[in-house]
Amino acid sequence: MRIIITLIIVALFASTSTPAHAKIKSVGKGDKMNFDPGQIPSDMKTAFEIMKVKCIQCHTQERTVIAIQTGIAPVTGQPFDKQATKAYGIKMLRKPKSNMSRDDVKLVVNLMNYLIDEAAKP
Amino acid sequence: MRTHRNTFLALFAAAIIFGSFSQAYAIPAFSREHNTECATCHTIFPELNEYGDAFLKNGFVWNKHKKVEEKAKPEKDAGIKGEGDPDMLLKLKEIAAVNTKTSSEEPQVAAAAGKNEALLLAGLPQTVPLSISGTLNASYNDALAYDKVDFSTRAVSLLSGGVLKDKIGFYLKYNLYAEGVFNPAASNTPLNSNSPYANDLEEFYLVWRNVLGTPLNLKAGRFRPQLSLWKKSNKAGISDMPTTSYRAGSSNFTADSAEDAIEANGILFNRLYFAVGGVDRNGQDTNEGYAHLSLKIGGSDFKAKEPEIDLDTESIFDYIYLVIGGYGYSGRNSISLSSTQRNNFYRTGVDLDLVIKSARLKFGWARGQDNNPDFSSHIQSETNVYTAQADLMLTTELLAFFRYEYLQSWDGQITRRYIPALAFAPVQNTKVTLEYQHTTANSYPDDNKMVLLGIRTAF
Repeated sequence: MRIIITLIIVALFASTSTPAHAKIKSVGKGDKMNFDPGQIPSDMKTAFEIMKVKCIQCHTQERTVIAIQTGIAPVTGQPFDKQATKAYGIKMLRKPKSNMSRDDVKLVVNLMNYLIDEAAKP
Repeated sequence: MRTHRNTFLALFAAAIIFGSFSQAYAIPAFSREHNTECATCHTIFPELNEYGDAFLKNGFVWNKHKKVEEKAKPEKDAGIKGEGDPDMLLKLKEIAAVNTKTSSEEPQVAAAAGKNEALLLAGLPQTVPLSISGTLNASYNDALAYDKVDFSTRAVSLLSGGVLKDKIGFYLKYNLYAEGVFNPAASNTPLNSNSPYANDLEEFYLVWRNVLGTPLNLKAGRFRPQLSLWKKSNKAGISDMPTTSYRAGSSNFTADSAEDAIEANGILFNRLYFAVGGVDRNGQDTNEGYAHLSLKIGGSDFKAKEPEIDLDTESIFDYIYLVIGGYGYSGRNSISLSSTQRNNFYRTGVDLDLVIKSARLKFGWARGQDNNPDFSSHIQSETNVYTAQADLMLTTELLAFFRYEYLQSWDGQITRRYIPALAFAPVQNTKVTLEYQHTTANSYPDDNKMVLLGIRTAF
């Protein structure tokens, strides 16, 4: 009986979870975590460098990696989709002293959208 | 005459300055709970940015946008059916319901962020929601005949804040220790102000969020009524905004002091915020209450939703937002319950908060009327206060501001203050503030000069 109940609970959680996003690889752990540079296309290396330098001024890259991998923004619990990446881009653009130009934001949003697409692939 | 003038100015400055040490600080408990940095909600703590303001207005919850609300299906989607142990079935249904109601993604987020699933399902904070804050202040007052330098003001407070199942928000500030000229939230409840414990519990309130699915939040307990756009603690400097901290005569009422109250507030059309409250005062036998209304134009809305911006087109308006707020408060107080002398009063005011990227302009106007401010002569008096403040974030750690204050007090005195200040936060939870105050009064020939140095940390 306990096994059945356990299985039901596991099934419940599985049914209420979003699909696993395991395609995106990361390197390092904790505040050293980052996307695996090997999976970044060459035409997005500039965006990746901007992300590595500017995003971590205020938060760790771990937060971005988790958001992309799980599809959920860790702090707010909101879906982290393409609409969200643009919203976060706008937020960073408007944030005082974020040191992110419009071009920086566009490049990073494009990179995050690419990573979201990659993460969604079966 | 000079001694009299200096004493007056010193007392005036001290009343405002030391009153300002009674603040609800930034809450590192929020930072721990949400695993996010102080700068998410603060410019230089404890001054709030627009996201911190939205977090406060939404009862300490990151607001769920419509998209998620649509995703969160009702209980029927939990799909738990069958027969057998009815209690177990009920529990399973509850677990499934909680999962879908709070957010179907939360268990996954919990796992990814290392959160405790049991606490998540129970709706409890993942971390013990406690913080400690400490303040050390020093002042140099040129007007004093002795003790020009004073290091003796310090305070330690216990802070707590959080939300239970996204339904009940709570906030507490308990003053553990205070020394020096420290007058935390001088109660305007006559009996409480005489109690040795009156100032210990500075704020403790609960917020029932979105009552019965409506936009209405109900707040009850001891708290600072929502009047001005800027709560007492919502500032980078040391001294308070004069529009809400001034007093009239012997009345100990200030518009920013904590009171026993119940308040209904909410956000309408995402950009309109209202608050209406009733205040309980010992010995009270007439109604006392307040109302606030504010409107935000530009920027993210009061639910922290970003505006639509075209990333391909540059526009200065993308970096500008304006908040306009107005308030009114009507009340009555006395020196003691046994006194037959009453003072009926009202306060009203308008605030403007304009942000242009790293620059911020604050304008405030307040007007008050007391019909017996000295509790004896029944001479009606009026007070008018104007203030303008310009902030500039020089770096993410350094903010400079200049404030001008004009106070036409109840007794005809006109006082002007010029306050340049620097606030430096080498780490996000520690701030050093240097503030200079130059005060002039119309009835005295000489000016008063004061320097304040404050160090504040919270962890």
